[in-house]
Amino acid sequence: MKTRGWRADLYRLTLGLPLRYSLVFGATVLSGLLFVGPAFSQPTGAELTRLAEQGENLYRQKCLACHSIGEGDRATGPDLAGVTERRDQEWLIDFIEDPAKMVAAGDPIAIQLLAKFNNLPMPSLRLDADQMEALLIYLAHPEEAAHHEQQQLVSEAVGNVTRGEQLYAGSLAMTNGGSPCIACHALSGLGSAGAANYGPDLSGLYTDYEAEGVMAVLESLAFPGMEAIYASRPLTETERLDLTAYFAQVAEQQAPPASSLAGPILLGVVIVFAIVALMGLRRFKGARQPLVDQVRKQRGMRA
Amino acid sequence: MDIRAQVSSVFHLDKCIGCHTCSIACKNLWTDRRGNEYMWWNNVETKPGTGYPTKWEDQEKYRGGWERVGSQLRLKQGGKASTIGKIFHNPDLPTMDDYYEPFTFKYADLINAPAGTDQPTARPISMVSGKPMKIEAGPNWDDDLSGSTVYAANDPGVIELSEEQQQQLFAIEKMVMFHLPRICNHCTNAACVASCPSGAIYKRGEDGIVLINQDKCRGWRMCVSACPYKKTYYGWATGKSEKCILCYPRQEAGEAPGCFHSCVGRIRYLGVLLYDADKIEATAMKADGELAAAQREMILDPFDPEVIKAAREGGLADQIIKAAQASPVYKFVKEWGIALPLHPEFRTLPMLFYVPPLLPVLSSENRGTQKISNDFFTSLEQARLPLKYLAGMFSGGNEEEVKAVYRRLIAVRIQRRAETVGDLSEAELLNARELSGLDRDALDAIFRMTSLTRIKERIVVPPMLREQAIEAGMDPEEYKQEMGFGSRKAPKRRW
Repeated sequence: MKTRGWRADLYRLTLGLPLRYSLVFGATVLSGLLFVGPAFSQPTGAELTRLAEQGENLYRQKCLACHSIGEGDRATGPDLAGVTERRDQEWLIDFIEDPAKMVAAGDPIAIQLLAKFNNLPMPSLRLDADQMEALLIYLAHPEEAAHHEQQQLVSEAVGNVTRGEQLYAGSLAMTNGGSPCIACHALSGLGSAGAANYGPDLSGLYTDYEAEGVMAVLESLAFPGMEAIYASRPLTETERLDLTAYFAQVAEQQAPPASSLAGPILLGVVIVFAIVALMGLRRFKGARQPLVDQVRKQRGMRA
Repeated sequence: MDIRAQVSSVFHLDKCIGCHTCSIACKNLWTDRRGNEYMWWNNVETKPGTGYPTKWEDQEKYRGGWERVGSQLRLKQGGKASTIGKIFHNPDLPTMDDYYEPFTFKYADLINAPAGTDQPTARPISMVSGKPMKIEAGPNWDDDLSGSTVYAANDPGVIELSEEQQQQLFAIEKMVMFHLPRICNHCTNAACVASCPSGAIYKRGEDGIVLINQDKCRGWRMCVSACPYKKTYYGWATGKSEKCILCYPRQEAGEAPGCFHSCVGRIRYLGVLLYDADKIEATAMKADGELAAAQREMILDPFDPEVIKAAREGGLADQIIKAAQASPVYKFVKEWGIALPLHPEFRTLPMLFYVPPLLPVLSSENRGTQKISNDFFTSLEQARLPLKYLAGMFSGGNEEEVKAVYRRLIAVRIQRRAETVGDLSEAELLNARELSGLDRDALDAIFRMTSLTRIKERIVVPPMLREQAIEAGMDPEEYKQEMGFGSRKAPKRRW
């Protein structure tokens, strides 16, 4: 009643309508500034360079494993040169935010891309709005950050396959305490031991990503599951090289695929239950009740 | 010779009136706790009947006791490997229904019920679930032959009898029954001790009482299935098994065990027996029919100087040997030979002996006059219980054993009748005496022990000498002064 009171007063003073109009107008202008404003303000000069550089850093961290700019499509992903021209901005933002969702929603371009690149889904990069803006600016103006010297990602050094295998299987501990790959991933050639299915099967990893890509994935931790485990316990350069070498060897050997333990375990459980059930058949079923039941039956009484 | 002392007992079944006073005394002393409601360390059964738990004598069902496998004695429920194999699901346990579901009544309803046209009733309530229940069994459900078509007819001993014998047993006006009080037998070759995976059950060295260490017991319940007499019980509140302790705390204070002390019919006798522990295994390996006799052989004469010497060398105190000499159990079992073990064929060598019941012969009715059979108490042939049934209970099927006992019991009666009534011929008396193999004094002594003795003669509690038994572990003086103070230990658990 109180609020109604002061509003009623205002209307009585014929100030109500002007106040309402001014409030609506003010809100419209403010929201326009907030939402539409940034779209109109293209950064220029030093701001543009800063954003492009930030974007390049993100690109090297998150995209380089699978993509290139101006070097042609790779097996793992399309070349990103001029991508901002090819696709409209909204689509790009949606796609980078959650590629899986786009595919699931039936976006024709997303589905086509997935089919084209060996069905390798792109992980969600989980960028915030600022990072997204910086990345898009970099992709639109890669030349703005050109003073960043592109360093060779894969060094000339070659990893040790044996050490790689040991690191993968966990018989050799990671320097920074990261867990061995075998804990989550399946890999052919390791029998039932290498049949974990928390992460994807890595048997085809090298074929899909090649040395550069594998190194980059192991460093950049583009996949959220990997990031949670290795962000605070990063793999060292040597470890990455060793693992890459090992993956290369696995890809070459075409060892028999990892066989899951689920079947044998299920069979074992069934056997144990069967034994217990068989033993249960001999279980003492009571002495008194059968006697009573027997007599009741003889006399035709209800049991 | 490895001489040990055993506190053992004799129950005189001719004197038992089936009043259950012993059971009540025991219940009030030891098992009136939550989780123990269904336990009757002492119970009284009606024979013929299936007892408590139902059909406990049927070891094909319950798989208790020992069996001979080649030249070896093995637990019927299986050896050590088999025990481990079924440690989490012992298949041979009686069900709750075989004991009975303990119950009480909702007495509060009797005074709290609102006014109405009907009498208020107290509904039966399960003491396990607390919910209303239908009472369908009790610890003495077949008392005095109630429900005999179900229970007495299915007595494992009765089933063994011929059709004709069974009909005689249950013929109207000829029906026959007697009472069988049972406690733990404190066996010499106890199956419960052998079966315990935790090693929690032991036979006390100084007096042979079999006990379950409540700290060590893990509730596997192998003893429950291994004991052929079903005299260990699982307490579901404590998660431990419990059994008759022969009231050792009372005995250590010089008192008779509760059930012995309260026995109205004075049927219970208690005393020390000396036996040769080296002979246990050989004795338990004998054929079914020889077991009762072999067990008597194992028991030694406490007056024999050689036995006394060996007993002293084995560390038995003079007081114990003296108590063994005063033991009424020795007289019943060895001197007079009228007490037999219950179901010796279970091969646990039970140390509780029974004087089998000598039921009176029937009176017959002829043209409106009642006439008692001429040979009052004198004829084995007219015994109302088939000897086969009694032999199945007390001598592993050996009827000669039971006959010998009955000849002695009949001789006692003939001698008393000759003395007090004087209507029997001298020849008849001499014949009976000769058949019994006992002289006049022995028969008189049996009569005296059976009817006239006072409690100190019937129940000879040996000096338990606890101070000597415990002095290795603690100061007896301290124990004596501090016992009963301090905290009771909570049972140890792994989970």
